[in-house]
Amino acid sequence: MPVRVFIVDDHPMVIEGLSAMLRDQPKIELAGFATTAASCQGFFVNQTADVVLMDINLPDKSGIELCALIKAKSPTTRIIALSNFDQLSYVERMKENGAAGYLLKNTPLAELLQAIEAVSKGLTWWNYLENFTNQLEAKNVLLLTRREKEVLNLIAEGLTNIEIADKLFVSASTIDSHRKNLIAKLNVKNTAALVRFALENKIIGSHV
Amino acid sequence: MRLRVLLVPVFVLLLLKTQAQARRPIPTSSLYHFVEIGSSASLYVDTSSSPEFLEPPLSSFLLASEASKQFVKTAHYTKYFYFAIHNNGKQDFNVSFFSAPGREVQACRINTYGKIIEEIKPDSYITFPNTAKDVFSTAIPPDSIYHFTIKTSPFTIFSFRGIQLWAIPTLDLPTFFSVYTNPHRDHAMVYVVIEGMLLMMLLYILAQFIHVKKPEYGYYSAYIFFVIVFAALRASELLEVNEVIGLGKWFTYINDVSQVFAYCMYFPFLRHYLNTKQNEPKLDRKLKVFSFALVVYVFIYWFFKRNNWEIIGWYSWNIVRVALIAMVIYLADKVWKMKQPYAFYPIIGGLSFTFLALLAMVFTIYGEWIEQFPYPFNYAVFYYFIGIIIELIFFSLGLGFKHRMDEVEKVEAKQALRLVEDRQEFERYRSMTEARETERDRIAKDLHDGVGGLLAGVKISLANIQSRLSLKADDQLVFVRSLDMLDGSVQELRRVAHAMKPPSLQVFGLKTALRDYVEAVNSMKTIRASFQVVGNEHKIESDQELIIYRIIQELVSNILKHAQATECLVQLAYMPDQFSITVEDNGKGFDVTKESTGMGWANIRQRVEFLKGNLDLSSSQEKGTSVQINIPFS
Repeated sequence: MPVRVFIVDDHPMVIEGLSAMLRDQPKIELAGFATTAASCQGFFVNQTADVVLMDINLPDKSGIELCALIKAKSPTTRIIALSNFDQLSYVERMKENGAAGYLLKNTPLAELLQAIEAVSKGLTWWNYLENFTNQLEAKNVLLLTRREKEVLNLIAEGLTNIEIADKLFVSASTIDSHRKNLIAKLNVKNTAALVRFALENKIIGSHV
Repeated sequence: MRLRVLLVPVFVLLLLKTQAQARRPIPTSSLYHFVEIGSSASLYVDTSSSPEFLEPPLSSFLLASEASKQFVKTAHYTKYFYFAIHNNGKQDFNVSFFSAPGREVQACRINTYGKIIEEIKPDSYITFPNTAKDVFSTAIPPDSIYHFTIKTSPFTIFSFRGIQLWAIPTLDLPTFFSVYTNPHRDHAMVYVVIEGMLLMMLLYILAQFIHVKKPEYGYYSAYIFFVIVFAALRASELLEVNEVIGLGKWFTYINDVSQVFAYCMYFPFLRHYLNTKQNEPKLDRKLKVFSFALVVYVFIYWFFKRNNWEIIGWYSWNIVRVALIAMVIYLADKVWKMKQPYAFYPIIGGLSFTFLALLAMVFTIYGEWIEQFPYPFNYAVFYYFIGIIIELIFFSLGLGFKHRMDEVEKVEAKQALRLVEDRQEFERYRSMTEARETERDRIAKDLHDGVGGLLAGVKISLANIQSRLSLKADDQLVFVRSLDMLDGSVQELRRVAHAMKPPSLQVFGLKTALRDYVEAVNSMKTIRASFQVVGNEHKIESDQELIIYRIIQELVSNILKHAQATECLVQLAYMPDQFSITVEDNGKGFDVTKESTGMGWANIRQRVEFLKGNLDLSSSQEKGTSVQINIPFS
């Protein structure tokens, strides 16, 4: 049984291109297409599809929202985001709302077909996520900025805000901000604890 | 309105005073303290009895028992005791003063200016009533007044409790005499002190006037000046040196007129002080008319004096005084209703003065009653001058208060103006940036969704027909190359659109948008960019978010363009009271003294300033550049 694919995109040209492409595939049957979110929802009132290729940027509703709506209406439907947005936040939001994969619109046809096949079998297609590797938020330890280390060193030397400010040619209030940032970052209670923490963890004394 | 009821007793008092003074026989000065010696009948000496000089003089009179009381009460210093004896009889009148022998007592006859005419030597010695006494005797010719002074040392005063002053008539009386003493001569010190205080105040207020340049200070100085003139004239009268000035009958005129002029300054002072022109236009007009009427009165009074219409002049002056007091009370009533804290000062001052002046007036009529008080409270005029001093103190306090209030108002107005300017600046900047951002938004959307979508469609269509086309090998390659370029152009277009308007900023907020941005920088693989967030995310105004985003964009693009760095760090820190951004790199750094020349830095600084934040920039060749921007939460 061929996979029933439904296309949502506000550009008729994309729909045209995609349908022309998919029509040739024996394993794929085109269920229909929509240029707006409302039209897409209308389709899912009485009918259903196995896979939806969904654009994020739609005129009436964002694809992220639509994704959740369709998943609620028809939980077995697999949704692949097919978007021009190349940002991590969009990928993540789509994933959160139940999408099974994410592809950019200039993805080669072969990969698109692979993705459709994979998701229709219950797998996911998050290859695009692998582009984002440098996830600092995943790390628990926050880096100290160089300026913060400098300030921390001077605090450990027993200098006051004003003295440090004079030394670094900035205002005392700036130094105070650094100090507050440090206390928050290192999750300590006061300056004394800050200095102790810094000494124990050998943060200070080792300049970048 | 209720306050005006007070005028009735004031008027009665003034009439009483006028009557009391009109009744009194006034020899030289109206201000002699008159010592009554029994009833008028007793002033006639019984000629049938034969007085014995050196024995207890039965026919003598104790003249100065009243006056001598003052000796005992006061003076711990050398004292002069002044009095005058008026011989109304037809024959010489012999007077004798007694004091304990060996005491330092000097008796002198003086003229009205206080200058010694002759010293009276003790000429005999008596034992009377039971102690030994020196006798100082002199004769007063008929129809004349002799003024005397007796100087005593403090020791003397204490030892024999005052001079007992006796007048002993000669054999062939009857004669008629009165004794006057002038206690005011003892109070010269009070005048010196009060005039000194007034002068100091005048100098101080004049200095203020020069500094502050407000008309009320000028009028106030003039007011004090006339009060000084008035007080000096009054003092000279009380001290009996008025004749030295030599003004004759014009003396009292100038004395009274100085009071009128003082009030002519007092009302304009109040007008400016209370700003009645704006606050109470009706009252302002009344005060103007009243001041003008006072000036007119000066001329009317002069006319009375010129024609020697003393009684009319006296009554007219008392009517004016009642009117002045009425005006002060009326003003108090009006100003009280203004409910302005600074307005209370001159009113409290004016009322205290009026009250004390009236008190002084009561005490001059019922002088005996205050005799019991210690010096100087037994002295009616003292209350009057205390009234002036209190009034001036309140006026000065009021001026100070008002001045400070005006200053505060000025500062507040300035602050308000600055706020408005800030707001305008903000609006200007916002409308400018808003217009620009809207434009960018539109272009970005058109590019991304419109052109981007179309290109994507073209790409898909071309890829679709690629398999069905039969091309030469070379053409096939060109076709593939074109598809690739089309891909590239889609990517390029996306990059341009995102730089113009980060789509995730509006949708997901600053933190997410910045993370996307750092990811995008990372994906270029030219630099290893890190992003971290400290503290819990606060919602920031979307205008501000966009500006902050732009600042970071500018900073990072500077790093990419110039720093030759391999690593960079973007940090957001949400503190309870502020928000800080840190952007650091490990590049080659730059000379911070020359940063201002770059267009990018000017933009960054302008934006930071707009957000009322501060910027900490440090850069070195070895370590790279570190920028921290702190923005307070408004």
